[in-house]
Amino acid sequence: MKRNKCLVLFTTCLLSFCLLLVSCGGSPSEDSKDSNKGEKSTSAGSPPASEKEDALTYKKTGESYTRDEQGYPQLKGVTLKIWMPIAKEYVDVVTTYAEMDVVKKWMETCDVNLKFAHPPLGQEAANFAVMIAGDELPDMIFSNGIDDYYPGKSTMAYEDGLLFDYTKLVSKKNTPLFIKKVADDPYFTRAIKDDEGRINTLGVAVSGSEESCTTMFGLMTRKDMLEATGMDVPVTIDDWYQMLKAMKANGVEYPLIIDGDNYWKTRNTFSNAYGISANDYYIKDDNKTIAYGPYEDAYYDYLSTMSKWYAEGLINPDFMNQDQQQTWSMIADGVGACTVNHLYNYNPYYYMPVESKDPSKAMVAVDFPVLKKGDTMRLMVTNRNIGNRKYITVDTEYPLACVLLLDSLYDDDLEFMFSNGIEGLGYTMSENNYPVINTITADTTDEELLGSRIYPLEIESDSDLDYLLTDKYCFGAQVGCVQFGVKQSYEGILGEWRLNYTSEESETISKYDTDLNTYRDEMMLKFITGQEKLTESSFDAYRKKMKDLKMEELIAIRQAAYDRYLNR
Amino acid sequence: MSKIHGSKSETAFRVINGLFMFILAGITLYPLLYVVFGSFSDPAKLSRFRGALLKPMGFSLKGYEAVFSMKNFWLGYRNTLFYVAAGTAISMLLTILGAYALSVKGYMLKKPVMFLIVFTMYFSGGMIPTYLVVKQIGFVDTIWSVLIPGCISVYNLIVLRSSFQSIPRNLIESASIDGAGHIRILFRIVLPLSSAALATITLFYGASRWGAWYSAMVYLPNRRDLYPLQMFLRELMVTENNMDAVADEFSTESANFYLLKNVIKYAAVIVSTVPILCLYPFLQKYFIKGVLVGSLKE
Amino acid sequence: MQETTFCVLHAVSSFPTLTGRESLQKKYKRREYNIMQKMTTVSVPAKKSGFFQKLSKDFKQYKSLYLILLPVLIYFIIFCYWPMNGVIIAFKKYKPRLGVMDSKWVGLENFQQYFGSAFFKRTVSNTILLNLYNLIFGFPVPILFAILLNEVQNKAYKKVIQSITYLPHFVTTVIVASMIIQFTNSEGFITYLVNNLTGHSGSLISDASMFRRIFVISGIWQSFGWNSIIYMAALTGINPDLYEASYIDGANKFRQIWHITLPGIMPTIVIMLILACGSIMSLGWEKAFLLQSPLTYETSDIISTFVYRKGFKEQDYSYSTAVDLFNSVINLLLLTLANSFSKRFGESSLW
Repeated sequence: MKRNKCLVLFTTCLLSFCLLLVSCGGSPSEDSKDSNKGEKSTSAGSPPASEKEDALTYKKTGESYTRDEQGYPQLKGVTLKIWMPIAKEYVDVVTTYAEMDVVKKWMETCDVNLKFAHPPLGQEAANFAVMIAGDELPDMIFSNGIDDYYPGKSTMAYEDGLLFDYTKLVSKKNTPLFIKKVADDPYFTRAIKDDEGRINTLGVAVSGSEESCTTMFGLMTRKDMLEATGMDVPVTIDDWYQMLKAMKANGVEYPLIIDGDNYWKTRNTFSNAYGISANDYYIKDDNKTIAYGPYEDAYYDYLSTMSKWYAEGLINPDFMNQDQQQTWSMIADGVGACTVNHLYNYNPYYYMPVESKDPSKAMVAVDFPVLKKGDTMRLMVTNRNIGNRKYITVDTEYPLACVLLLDSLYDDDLEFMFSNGIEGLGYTMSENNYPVINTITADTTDEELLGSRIYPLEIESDSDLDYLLTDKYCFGAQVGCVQFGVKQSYEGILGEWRLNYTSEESETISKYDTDLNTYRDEMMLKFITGQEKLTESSFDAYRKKMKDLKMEELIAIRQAAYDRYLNR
Repeated sequence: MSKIHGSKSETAFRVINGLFMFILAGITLYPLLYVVFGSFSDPAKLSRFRGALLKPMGFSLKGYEAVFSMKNFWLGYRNTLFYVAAGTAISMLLTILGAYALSVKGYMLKKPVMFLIVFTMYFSGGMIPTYLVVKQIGFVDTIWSVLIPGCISVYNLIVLRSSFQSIPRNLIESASIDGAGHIRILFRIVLPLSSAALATITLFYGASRWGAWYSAMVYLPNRRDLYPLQMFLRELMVTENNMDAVADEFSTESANFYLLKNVIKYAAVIVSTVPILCLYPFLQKYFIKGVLVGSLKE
Repeated sequence: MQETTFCVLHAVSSFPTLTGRESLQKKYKRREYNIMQKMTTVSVPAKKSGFFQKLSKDFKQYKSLYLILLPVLIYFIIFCYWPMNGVIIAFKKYKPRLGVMDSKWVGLENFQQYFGSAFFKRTVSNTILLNLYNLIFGFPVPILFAILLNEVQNKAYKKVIQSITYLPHFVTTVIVASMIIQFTNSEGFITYLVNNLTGHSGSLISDASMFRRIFVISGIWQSFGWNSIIYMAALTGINPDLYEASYIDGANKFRQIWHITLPGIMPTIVIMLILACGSIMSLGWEKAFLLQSPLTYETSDIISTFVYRKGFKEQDYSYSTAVDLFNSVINLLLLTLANSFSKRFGESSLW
């Protein structure tokens, strides 16, 4: 027996010794990561003997490029590697975006060679982590990679020495298009830089404009059921209540259908009336204070309304587990009447299979309800923001080339190409001289797919309302919803895209956020479905528990970040 | 299994048992039937249906047409067949060696090694450290990264070891007295007598290789052409529900194609599952052969 | 030497074992074998000579065996033990960019975060309870099924039944989960049945008190066929003559099963049970995640789904490694306990 014990001990020691040796000695690839690896001179460009005045240069790496007559940067055929999730539509046709026509054109125009690293769909996070841990970083990271998958987002990425700070390279000479398009728009002035004054939004996609930002979500109801109640289109919450009750009396089982995709929450559909966000932080009336919707007193009124509707059977009971497809099928069957949903799904799930074949089942757009007639909205969730950020890593040998390439995204012609594709293959011109995207069906040829657009590279989503409402989305887009969204105010929306957090703040958020969200979601459903009775005291208990879960600290963090934003 | 002897209670038992088995088969067949019905359905009709499918909603082969024309699908199939064949062979070889060595009695390092191997079932470095090791060896972006890491399942090793330990000792003794070394004992005596266990473990490894995707996901970042079938299937199942941010754009897909995606999912599951279902009946004959073990005279 | 023999006797785990008269015979044969071994082994001097000398002698004696074991050892060292230094991540604030060694050391902070979460107790108890229910209700089912199926006379019928019952194992979790939701929501036919037979009202899947039942029963339904394969294989090893003999002795079906079949596959059952004890703290996230909703978090939120939601936005590898480490320690402890327990009762064991 003793011998066996000795044996076990001996072997364990031996193996742990081996382990130690191996792991300390062979600690793989954690070399020094100094932030400007591009100190060494590269073959990117030995400055020509006679330098033109308008040559674009960067002393640290010795790069030098020129522009051609149209103003496109000529990047001398350097190879740039880009990490970017691939869109689902193209997964079967291409293994890399470099095979698509629009990218080929881009490479040709700018004389650059692009290589893409695409993570498998659905596994972006793991792929990203493994890429960062390895020692071969790409030159650029697209599609919000850092914000979505790096702990602490871009602030931390800069601090950890992952990203290249190109603030100094942003200038009228290097990035004229970027400055014209984004930096000059007052709505975004503060959002261009982060709290440290670094410009980190080169290449970012801009949505919406002062004149017409849109939202592709809408509240709509079946026209015939509305007419059967004999009422006008509802405006206030009370109108809604009366209408839903009347519909139920007419035989619609669950007049309001909502589902697990939670657009009724995230789009502030009904909470807007109470002046709060249903799910999130928002800016209060004074345009300075940050509050959290589910923590506010008005949340009690909001919950009472929703729970009253649920108790009277006006809302479908399985909404938490339901998906879009079921929602639309219930409406098609007459089990439901109203829903708030993404117009993107409305078309394939309802308009094409049902409404276009049977006009009696047509849907009509309804505005979000207000509390009292004449109230205005502040919390419309629109697409007015910037996103789809692009980053340059420190390991790149050609930082100037990256900067110039990102700037070229804002060129009108290139941008048109990314949004629409190659003429004839990706889009066709309509009679009104707008490009209409060719729909992708099972019969679309490979050639057509190769020539189609790449919307993750789009830099500006359309804000020309005429075009949006007529040619681009004319079929089954519920024009009324789009028009409604345009008219509303989004001044109360906070938008995480504006904020930067310090590392302590990030840590606090990561410690407490999940607990808080879990509790919030749980209690919201319990109150609405009536499993927990909604009374003054139970709501107070709920607020107290939120406070114990560090609600106030988290609000304070957002407040501090917003204040810093205002002071930029 | 008592044979021909019949009695009233025996017959009653047999009848009830048979009926019970029938019901069980029905209940367990249903999920696959559901998927089969879904795969043959018309996309538009299927989207309208809620509840338990009892037949295809309008017969249509569109789902299968779309699946058979997906290039990635066939690429994945080819890759998976290779990984299953080569991977199961490698796994079986190493597992047999390990199980045999750990089933022999009397040598010093046996117990500690056994403990250390079981230990690895519970503690591992995690995804990133393992990736870094595999990268250092140079397996990343090659087929070896799918074949080797994870090729030995400790669970299977334990099962096989148990089977080897049950071989009657005297057979092995007499062979070793006759001068046979361990290799000969393993291949001439132990393996032939363990056919049931070997068939079971082959099935386990085969099925797990067939459904494997994790290794490919982590270790093949730049080689989509080496992806197994399951990776493409998983990509097919990815839903795009979280569309916050900027891109709440209209997709270019038409309604029909969008609906077709659901039918494609079902068709893809059927097409990719049918081969592995055929493996078991093929191996079933080895389960009968194992009867010989118990009937050996001492 | 006596002690070692004693240990060896108890450490035997057999795939099918022999019973009754045979076991006595075997015991005598074993004693014979051990005496023989004593006589044929190289005699070792009585004094406590060097441990390493013994080891080198052992290497010489079993050289070919160690050679056979070598590739397996190399595999485990390279792919399991070399990366194991990554476990340190649990004690650091891991940043992928800085690597394992350079990330900041934070000691037990990640564990404190885990224990200090408002939902720690709930998630741990949900995980353990679900696994326990699976063990109590789900463990016997494949065994009973294998035994009953074994009694089926018609070979073809048996083959067909067997091939059908393992099919649900291969249907992807996503599809199974969506089916379960369809059947157990307000309109589902299972809900209809249950509500009519019991007094329950409303959807089953949104009822926190029903979640465990749905989870466990659907798990049994999906996996009993596949899990019974190993017992079916074990059953083939039982000597059919034993049944003949017992029939002659007048045993009915039930006694045959109780005295021959069960003991025959008992070693397999015990090993499976020990391994099951070693996964009490682990439960995969995918199925629970697809079936749960915030309304049922009380019973449906398990460790892995909570960590998944947490990791979704934050990519905190230190945290998930710490959670995994904690769970693994508990699992290993339980496994060791189950193993020694089983040894004490004279049954098979892992080591």
